[in-house]
Amino acid sequence: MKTATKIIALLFLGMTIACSDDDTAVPEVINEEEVVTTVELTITDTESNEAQIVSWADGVNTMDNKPKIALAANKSYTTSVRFLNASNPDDIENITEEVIEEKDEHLVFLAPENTLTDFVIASNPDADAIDSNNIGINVATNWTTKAASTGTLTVFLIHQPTSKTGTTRSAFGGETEAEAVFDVTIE
Amino acid sequence: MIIKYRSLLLVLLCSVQFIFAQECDLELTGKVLDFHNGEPLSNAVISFDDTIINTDIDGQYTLTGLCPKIYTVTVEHIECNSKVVYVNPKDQTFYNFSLEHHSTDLTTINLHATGDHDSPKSIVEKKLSKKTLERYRSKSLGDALTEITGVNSLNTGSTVVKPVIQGLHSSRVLMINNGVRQQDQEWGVEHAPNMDLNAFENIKVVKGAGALQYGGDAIGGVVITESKMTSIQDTIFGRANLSGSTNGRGGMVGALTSIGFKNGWSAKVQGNAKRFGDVEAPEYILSNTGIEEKTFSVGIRNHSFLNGIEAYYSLFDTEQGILAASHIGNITDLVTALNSADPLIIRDFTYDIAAPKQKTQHHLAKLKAYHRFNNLGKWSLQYAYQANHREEFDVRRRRNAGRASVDLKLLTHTLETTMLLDGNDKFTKNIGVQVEYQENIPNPSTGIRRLIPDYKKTTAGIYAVGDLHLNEQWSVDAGIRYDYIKINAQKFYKADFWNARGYDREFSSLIRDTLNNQFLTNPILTYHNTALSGGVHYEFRNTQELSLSTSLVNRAPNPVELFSDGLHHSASIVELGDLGIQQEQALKFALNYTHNSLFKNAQLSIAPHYSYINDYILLEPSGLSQTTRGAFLVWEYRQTKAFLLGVDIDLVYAVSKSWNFHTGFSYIYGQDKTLDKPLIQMPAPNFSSEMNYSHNRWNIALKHQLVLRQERFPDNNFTATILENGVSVTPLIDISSPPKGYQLFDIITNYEQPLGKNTLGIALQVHNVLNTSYRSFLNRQRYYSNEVGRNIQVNLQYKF
Repeated sequence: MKTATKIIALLFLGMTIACSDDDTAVPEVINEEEVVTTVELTITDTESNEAQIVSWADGVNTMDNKPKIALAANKSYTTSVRFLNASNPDDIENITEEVIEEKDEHLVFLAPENTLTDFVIASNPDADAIDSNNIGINVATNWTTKAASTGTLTVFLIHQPTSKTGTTRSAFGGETEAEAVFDVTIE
Repeated sequence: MIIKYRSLLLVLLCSVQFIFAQECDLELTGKVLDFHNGEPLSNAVISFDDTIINTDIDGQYTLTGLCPKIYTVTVEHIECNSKVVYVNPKDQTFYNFSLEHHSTDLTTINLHATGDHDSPKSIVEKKLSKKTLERYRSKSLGDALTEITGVNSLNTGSTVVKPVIQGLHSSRVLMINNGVRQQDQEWGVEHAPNMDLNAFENIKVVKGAGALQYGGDAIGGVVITESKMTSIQDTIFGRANLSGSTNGRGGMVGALTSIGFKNGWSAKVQGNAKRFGDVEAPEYILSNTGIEEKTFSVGIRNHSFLNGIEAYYSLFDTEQGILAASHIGNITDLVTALNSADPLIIRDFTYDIAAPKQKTQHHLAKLKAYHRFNNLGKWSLQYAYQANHREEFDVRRRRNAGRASVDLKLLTHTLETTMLLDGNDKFTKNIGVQVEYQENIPNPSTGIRRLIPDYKKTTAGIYAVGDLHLNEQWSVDAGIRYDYIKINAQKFYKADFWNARGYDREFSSLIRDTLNNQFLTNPILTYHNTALSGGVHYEFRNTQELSLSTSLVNRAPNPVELFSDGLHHSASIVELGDLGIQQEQALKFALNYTHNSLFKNAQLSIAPHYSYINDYILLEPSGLSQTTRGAFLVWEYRQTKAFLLGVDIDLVYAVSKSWNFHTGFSYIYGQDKTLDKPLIQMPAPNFSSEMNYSHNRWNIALKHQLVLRQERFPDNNFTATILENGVSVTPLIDISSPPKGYQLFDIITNYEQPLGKNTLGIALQVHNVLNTSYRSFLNRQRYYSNEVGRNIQVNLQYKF
């Protein structure tokens, strides 16, 4: 019985120590490390070299407040896309670099709405990141416009696509890491 | 003649006693018998004071040198429920003890309320038969529990299996891991209990909240598991198991050894290892659904009638793949998945488990001691420590690949003491106190904001339960319990989220600091839970039983319900808890009618139940959230008035000595009273039947399961604008409609070959014989793939 009493006393002591609530260690703040919070397009007119920067940002844009892209008819543009993580405003992370590093596992898909007449987007062989199967992943693209029209442009960043050929999002499979919708006006 | 002789003997004995009053030379003899068939039980242990003896081969015992006083005698047998009996050798020299020998009824689930004194008679405990445990050795605890009518499972794929008792799950179902309330982050729907059924000899389910000694918040019910150590001296026995399956191309290996030493010491060691690769649906491989599991348990105890001490440790370690195709990015991906008949990712078979996956580890260590006070009762003290570590891995970019997205450590200390007052056999009382301290420590190095915050939780509970046997027919019981719960959390909220939720008005005093657009808050929440239970049990015409139990209990919200505030990566939903969530209050009535001898050979039990739950906490879609990752469905916790009405029916029919039939049916009607619509996630009506044929050492069973389509569900379908083939469309996205009903057939054969004193059992099981393609309403992966197809499994069991 004596040992039993000792054990019980020890147990209570253990509990009391464990239960003491006085350590007020503050947990470390976590900034989301890999979310895409901003999709940024830099669209450069190939003749004038004038560039417009348009971006979709979390907390700013909604489907009722899409960022606007204004293009001219019968022109060509070079466009580059950047994916940013601005979770910590003091330390904005450029995720595009990581996407390019892992180009075999990524694809950017720029999907214009059909109402944008004869609006053509293709990988820019001079600037795009080319994966090991010789497919440009569309971080840099050439745009050509013809007739005046309006419609949306959706930019997808796809992780681990099951295929890199297709004309619609579902053809690529994989997991969507970013999906931002822009309003395009061709005049 | 015999009667005359006996009375003569009695007169003689009495006179002897009269002459030598208070002399300790009395004798008590008799047998220990099986309650069901009256067969003698050899090697049963009879103990009192410091004496321990075993019955002989004929179940016979003789006690000598007894004094004329009341002895409290414990009778135990390895495969029986133990029993405490009060005898005075002055009044009787011959006494037969009958024990409930549960292993004799191997064919079906035991429909009786078990004879253990754990719960009052009005509360029906359903126990898994030994045969069921043997069948499920390579499966999970959640799978085995579905053998009980009224218990279903909520699955994530085929490996994450959570028990659902009469429509309720997660924090509403208590899991008792060998006497300790399991703390393994049971709140998440994709978290299965971290317990291995191979560690236990006894697994029981109490439906409803009436068993207050386990906890005052078991609105759904309690799953009680027991790891038993032997009471027999100088013995060693155990089993070795080997099992292989075609589906998943894997198997299980396990062993258990039980040792009985001298002087009341005994020990038990058990270990199991399980490994399966990708399982297969009839049409395709379910990629990344492998599982690797290792479990171990060891216990040692010294046990006598007066005192006992026990130490126990168990480890559960598992790594489970989550179907690759279920890891989706946003609503566009969900629509693609829903429109595709086959999963979007089908790879070649592999044993490798890649992300997405879960890794969990659960350690349980406990120390228990008891002392029996003569004519008063048994006092026990128990301390338990549990350490749970859960890691969840998502598909991440290379820089973060291999880094967990969720990494939580949950540490729990529990100290409890109980006093079982069974000095009066007719009126037993059980009082107890439980103190629990818990700490949750999320690892900040995940790079993903914490799903569950850092918190410290203190719980203190006190209860009293009484069970009064009025006479042979009637017994009544009542219980009361109070729990105090305090949660001290430290949580970061995104500033915009905090303000959008309106917390800036209600909870601004909780903010301690502001860092990078995040508020560090310190919510301290306290809850007072009271619970009441009461019941009546009536036995009539020797064969029929009727019981009514009622309970009124509270459940405090769990950390997920309070604190969730963001994107659940693995499920691709935004999940929002609410700091303002209050306790649930549940009032439950459960009726149970059992006819033990219907048409002589049948046993029927009908158990209707009704629960009214005020402030029922449920998770339901509330809208869409547009982010740079695309659109997400927002699931929000809300509270409502709800009721559940259901019935569980079991019928066992012994057609002949060799033929046996069992069928069970359960139905639940769940309604959200506030919104006047069906409750989400209620199990569909289901039938489960088994035809059993035994001949000599052979046993063959045909199992049939019929699950009807759930016709009652809330409509949470929604529309979202997405781009399809260059056209903006706004389809209706159907996430509510339950899948079709289905039926499954299983064939299970078993053969036992005695090898000397040992036996070798060989079992061949074919599950889903017809290779039926189906989807289950209560599987979270029903949007992405069919369920597992045919599986042929061979089990070997060597008992020594």
